[in-house]
Amino acid sequence: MAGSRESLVAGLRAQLNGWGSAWHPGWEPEEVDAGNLGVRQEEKGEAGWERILPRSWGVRGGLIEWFEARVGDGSGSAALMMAQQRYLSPSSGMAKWLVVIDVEGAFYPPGVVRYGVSLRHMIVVRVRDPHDLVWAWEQALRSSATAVVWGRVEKLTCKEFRRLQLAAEHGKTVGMLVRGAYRSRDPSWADWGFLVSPCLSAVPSWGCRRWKVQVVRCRGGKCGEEVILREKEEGWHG
Amino acid sequence: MNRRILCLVFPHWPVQRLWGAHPELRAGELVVHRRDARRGDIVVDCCPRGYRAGIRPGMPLAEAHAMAHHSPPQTFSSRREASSSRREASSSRREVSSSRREVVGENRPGRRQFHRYDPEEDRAELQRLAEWCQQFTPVVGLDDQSPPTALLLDVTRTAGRFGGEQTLGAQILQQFVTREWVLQGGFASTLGGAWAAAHEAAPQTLLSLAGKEWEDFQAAIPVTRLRLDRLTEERLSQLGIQTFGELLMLPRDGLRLRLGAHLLQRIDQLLGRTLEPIQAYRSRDPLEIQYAFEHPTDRWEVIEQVVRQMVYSLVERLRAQGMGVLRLQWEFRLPHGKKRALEVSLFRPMAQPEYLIRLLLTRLECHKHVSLWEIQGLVLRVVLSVPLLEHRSQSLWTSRMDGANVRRGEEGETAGDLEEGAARALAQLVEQLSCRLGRESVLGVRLLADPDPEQGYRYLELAGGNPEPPRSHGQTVEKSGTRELPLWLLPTPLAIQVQRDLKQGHLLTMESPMAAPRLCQIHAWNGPERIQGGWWRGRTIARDYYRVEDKQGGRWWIFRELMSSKWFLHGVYG
Repeated sequence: MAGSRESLVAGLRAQLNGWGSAWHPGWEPEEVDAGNLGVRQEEKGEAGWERILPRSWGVRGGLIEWFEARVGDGSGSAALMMAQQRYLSPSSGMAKWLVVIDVEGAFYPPGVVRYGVSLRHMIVVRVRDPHDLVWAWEQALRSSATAVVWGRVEKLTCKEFRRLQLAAEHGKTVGMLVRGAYRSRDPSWADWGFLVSPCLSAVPSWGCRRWKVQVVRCRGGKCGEEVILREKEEGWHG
Repeated sequence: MNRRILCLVFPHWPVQRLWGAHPELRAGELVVHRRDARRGDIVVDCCPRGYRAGIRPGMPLAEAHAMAHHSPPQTFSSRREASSSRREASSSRREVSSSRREVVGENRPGRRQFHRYDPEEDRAELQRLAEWCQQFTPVVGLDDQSPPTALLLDVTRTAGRFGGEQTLGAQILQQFVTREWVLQGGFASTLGGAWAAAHEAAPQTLLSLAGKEWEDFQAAIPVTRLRLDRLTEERLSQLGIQTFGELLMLPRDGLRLRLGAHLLQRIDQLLGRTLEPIQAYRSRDPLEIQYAFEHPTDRWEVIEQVVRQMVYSLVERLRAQGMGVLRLQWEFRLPHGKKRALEVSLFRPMAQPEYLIRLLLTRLECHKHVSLWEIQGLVLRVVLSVPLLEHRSQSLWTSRMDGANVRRGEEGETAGDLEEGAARALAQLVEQLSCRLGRESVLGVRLLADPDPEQGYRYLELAGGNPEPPRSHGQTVEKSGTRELPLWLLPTPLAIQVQRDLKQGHLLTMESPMAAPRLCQIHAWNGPERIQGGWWRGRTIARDYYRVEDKQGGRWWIFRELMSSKWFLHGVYG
């Protein structure tokens, strides 16, 4: 009996180690110094995404956190771009409704068009009372009509995070939570966490925007991978 | 998507309405008359037999009497008008009371019969037909003529559900003809065009022209089909202008000066330069059920039981009418005459009591202080309902979802099952969110062709019945192009300081409370993009917009107000 218990505990521990330490509460991400990380060569199209997020992920639903050090660094745009390419395009075979949870009332719908998002398949949910925020996220994630729920979320308790994760798995939907980088140390039930930081061109000129997207949280994978995203006229390309 | 409007005209509507109410009147000649303050009783309309006998609208009633070649005419009048009619009619006339406003006398086939004109009842009957036509499209209205004699149907998004415009037209025509209505109709991309086409069509036909045929037809439309006032029509006639094509050749400034802006408005409406919305008809009488408690109560198990009964009773009445609810109001009567109301909005018409009860109770749970209420009575009121045709409504509401947007399902599930399942899930999501957050918080988006950034889009409430694009002055567009617009727009532009190189005009630094650090160096910028306009809304904007990138890589959307030369932060590229 004692042996079986020990073996059970050992098995569970092995499972936990296999999943990586990133997904469960109490995990602390590695110290990330963007300046010391060598930026890899730009990868275009799906290959760039494939390196940091396997295509198979998301079929069963889950959460992704997108961190940005400053407002306007671009994590929202990168999240939308991935949502469109992976989960909202007709070829994805999923329900293609995008639900935007707008808690600040500042979301600007014309801004999403250039990423290829169809406004005809987008629902904007304006949440005025912060107490309703998690409930609205949960409802949207739980619905089988939804493919992606996108929005800015700052404070989330561990219990609320878990509710969202279960809702996403129940509805087989993908939740894209745009958050400040200081939240990357908070307990999390997200499967993935990406830190987005802008890359400036050497010559001061207006042009396509480039970002470095770095994996800072990963369930069952390795942190530290990064990819450069580059903007084209028709949207963002990884 | 091009707008498609169907106009249905009912020639000799007062006569047709009376025929519908009293089929026995079809046997004889029918003359409808009214009292004119200056000319006395005059003929308003008459049936085709009367026309053949020489009776014309505007003719004195006495003359129409004199033309009678049979025995003295039968006159049908309402009780309130009986005394005045008695003076003119023969002594042999009889009055027969009825619950309706019209009082019909003895039916004598082949005799000329006279009837008082009742514009209110004519309008009410037309409104009933408009309600009936809502099975074809939710947007059905009456024309803006006085009195109205035509129905306007916006079939832009619904014609496809019936197999196309021609099939839909044939179906509508057949159903009206079966009910012995005489009508003529026309399809067009504008309301004015459809109205003109319908009036030019032959009885019991629908005119649907396209391309070159439509252009030829449009040029030949008589000016009397432009919905102008009589004075303008007479002036155009004096000028020798007979057709729309001839009118278009005249200079606009001259037309405005001589004939007024109304004529130009009609021209623009017919050509589609100005959007002319259909004022959709909604029934004014709400369907409601009331319940009064003997004593005020705060026991929610009792209230829930009563509400359950009320909803079942209401749904039964709705189903009997073939209607589904889109907006439901729950009113609580409190002591001292106070009232509180909660409203539940639905994404698609519903007549399932248990689902409605669940939504009502969810809505109630969200309301604060509800447990403190001492309730004296309850009112359950249907604010908005539309015909509930199971298959048709489903296909209509699922039209927003195409076949590709459904998850791959389990084995044995057909594409139709999946589509219906996804549509139901979407409806449930919208209804649940609307129920708790309010109808105004769950929104769809349409882009508008307006240069003003704040006016470049419009939110649409998804629940509570608003499936069509908003009625706005702007034209809806599919895409905003590839303009680099921000993801976040500040509700009120934030005043900032921007330093410029005065010689070369380059932007150097930006000082904003939102940026970190507050004073940041500008790395690159793009602009200006000048946006001017909005004077027609009384809020003129004149701005030079710039996209700027600071040294940290953050991108901002800022503008300089041309009048004051002050700088503002307006958007953030997230």
